[in-house]
Amino acid sequence: MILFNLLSKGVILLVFFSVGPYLLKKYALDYTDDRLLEKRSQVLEIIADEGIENFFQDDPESGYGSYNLLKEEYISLERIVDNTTLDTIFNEERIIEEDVVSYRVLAYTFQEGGNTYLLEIGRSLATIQQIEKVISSLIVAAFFIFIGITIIMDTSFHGVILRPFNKIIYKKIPEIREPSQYTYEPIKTGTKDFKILDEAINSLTPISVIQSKIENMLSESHLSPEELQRLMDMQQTIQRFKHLVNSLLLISKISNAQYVKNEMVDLCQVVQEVIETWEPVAREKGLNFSVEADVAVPIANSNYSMVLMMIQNAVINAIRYTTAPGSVSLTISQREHGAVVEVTDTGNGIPTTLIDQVKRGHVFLTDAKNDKSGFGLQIMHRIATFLNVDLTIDSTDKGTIIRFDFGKDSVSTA
Amino acid sequence: MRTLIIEDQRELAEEIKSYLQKENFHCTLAHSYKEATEKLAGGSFDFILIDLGLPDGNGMDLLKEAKKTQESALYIIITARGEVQDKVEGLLSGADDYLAKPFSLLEMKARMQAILRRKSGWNETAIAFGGFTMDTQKREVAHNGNVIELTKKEFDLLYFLLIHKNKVINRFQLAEHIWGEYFEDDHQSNFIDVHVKNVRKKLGSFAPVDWLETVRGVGYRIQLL
Repeated sequence: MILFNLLSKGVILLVFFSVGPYLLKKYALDYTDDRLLEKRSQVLEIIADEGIENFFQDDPESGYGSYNLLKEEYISLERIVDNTTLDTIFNEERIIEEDVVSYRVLAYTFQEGGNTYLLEIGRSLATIQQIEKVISSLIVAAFFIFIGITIIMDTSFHGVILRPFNKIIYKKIPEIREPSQYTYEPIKTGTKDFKILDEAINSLTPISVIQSKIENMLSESHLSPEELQRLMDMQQTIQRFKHLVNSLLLISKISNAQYVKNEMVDLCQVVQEVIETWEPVAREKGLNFSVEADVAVPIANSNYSMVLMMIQNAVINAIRYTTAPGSVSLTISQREHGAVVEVTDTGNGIPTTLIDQVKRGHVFLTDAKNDKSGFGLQIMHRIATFLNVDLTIDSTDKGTIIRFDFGKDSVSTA
Repeated sequence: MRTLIIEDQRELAEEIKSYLQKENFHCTLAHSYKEATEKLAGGSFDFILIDLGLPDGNGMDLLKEAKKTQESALYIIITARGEVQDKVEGLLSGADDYLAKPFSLLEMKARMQAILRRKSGWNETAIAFGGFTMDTQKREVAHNGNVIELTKKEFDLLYFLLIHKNKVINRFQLAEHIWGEYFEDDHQSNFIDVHVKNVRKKLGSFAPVDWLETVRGVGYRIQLL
């Protein structure tokens, strides 16, 4: 739409500059002609009032002539012998005091006292051009001010008008390949979300360059322990940044429903994979780690990686904030209304302020000191929303229960 | 192994080239669609790495074009976008694997080796090390015929270290290869240590595992001749 506006304004400019000079010239001439006709009426009135003799007092044969100092205008009146009738306006040169000046001339003949007189009133073309120039400057200035104001107004107006469409285009339509994939749930977002996504994507290649450089340097065999340590520090910094960017991208993609959920996922298998990685870590920390997950619980229309990440984040959180000799337990239970996975710990609990922020969909949590980046909980929450899993977090200073309720519809009966 | 690296980010292309050359790959660089087309017409390659976001064309189109003349080459597509449909389209168009930026060079090499093993009829699936044998096909580690029970993650960890034997692999690289990129770094270091400890314990009950070295403050190295 902005492009259309610019094009239409371009066309207006083109028309203005191609037809404008002609119209302006015509207007200036018409205006001058009107002024000449007005002056003719004034002169004829004076003649009628004072009599024509007053103009021929010195020499009745030579006629009357008058012009101003700069020869911009002149009036001449002379008696002519033939009975030619003239009532016209034309451009012609006149010699006044040896100067040749181009004039717009009104020539008019009339009868008075049985004689024929020729009245000429002239206005120099230079004066007319000067008028043209002044009017032209004023119009061009006004025109550009008008164009500028309309462009600003159009842009701001379209920004407001098209905001809902932008949301739809960037947030709902991408990745939709079939009508059935489209979600009709209203979206709630701000421009901040889009800035985050763009910045995250733009930073991936520079991160890749730095990471590759560090890895190449690390592969050199002649590094001193100090050099090695410095490179490791750099590696750690770039890893943190990479983790931040990847988490932001992940949150954005989950929020934009850019992952498929057409897999049959066995919750028991997911839990086994989580145990494989995290049970040794919990035991190493001196925690009691227990699991109740024996029966296969297949979940339809899901995504294995997403379910794994969601449950794993809950387990990581539990292990991280539980101190020895505390305990962490992971259970799957099939209930009448579906399947429930619970991660329970005896840690210090998650502050209510953090849980509230996560539920409200904040990307950057305030007061997230206990969570290294503050993304683990959001990722868990957003995956749950994406997979239609009912997530509840009950947390006190005695411990936390994170409950994933997969609901009746998602549990496969096959 | 002749490798064509098609990447418009010159610095990254140079780093990939530098790394692969140390691994005895013979590398050629192309920084645009046009340059890549010329290089593809000028010679044959065993490996082709294609960045999808080229300044003068779509890497996906280049992949399809390259497949016509370099049918036997192995392809890895690289992109910063990391979109699911890019991955699917790339694989459907004939790519053998997919790397999302930012990736580790070690991860890239591991993927290249896996493709070579899978596609080039490389039937040598047993790797001997420190008195043990690893069967990459069956995903088993054994000592004198006794199979040692390793978890999936422990096996992957040991395999990754073996692929890069005699090199120091830091905890970040190990964690990224085995657990992906979404864990917090302080816990990465912790859980990697726990799993390496378990590998040592399981293998150590059969034979000494002093070849699995800890490089203090950095990571681990399998030191073998």
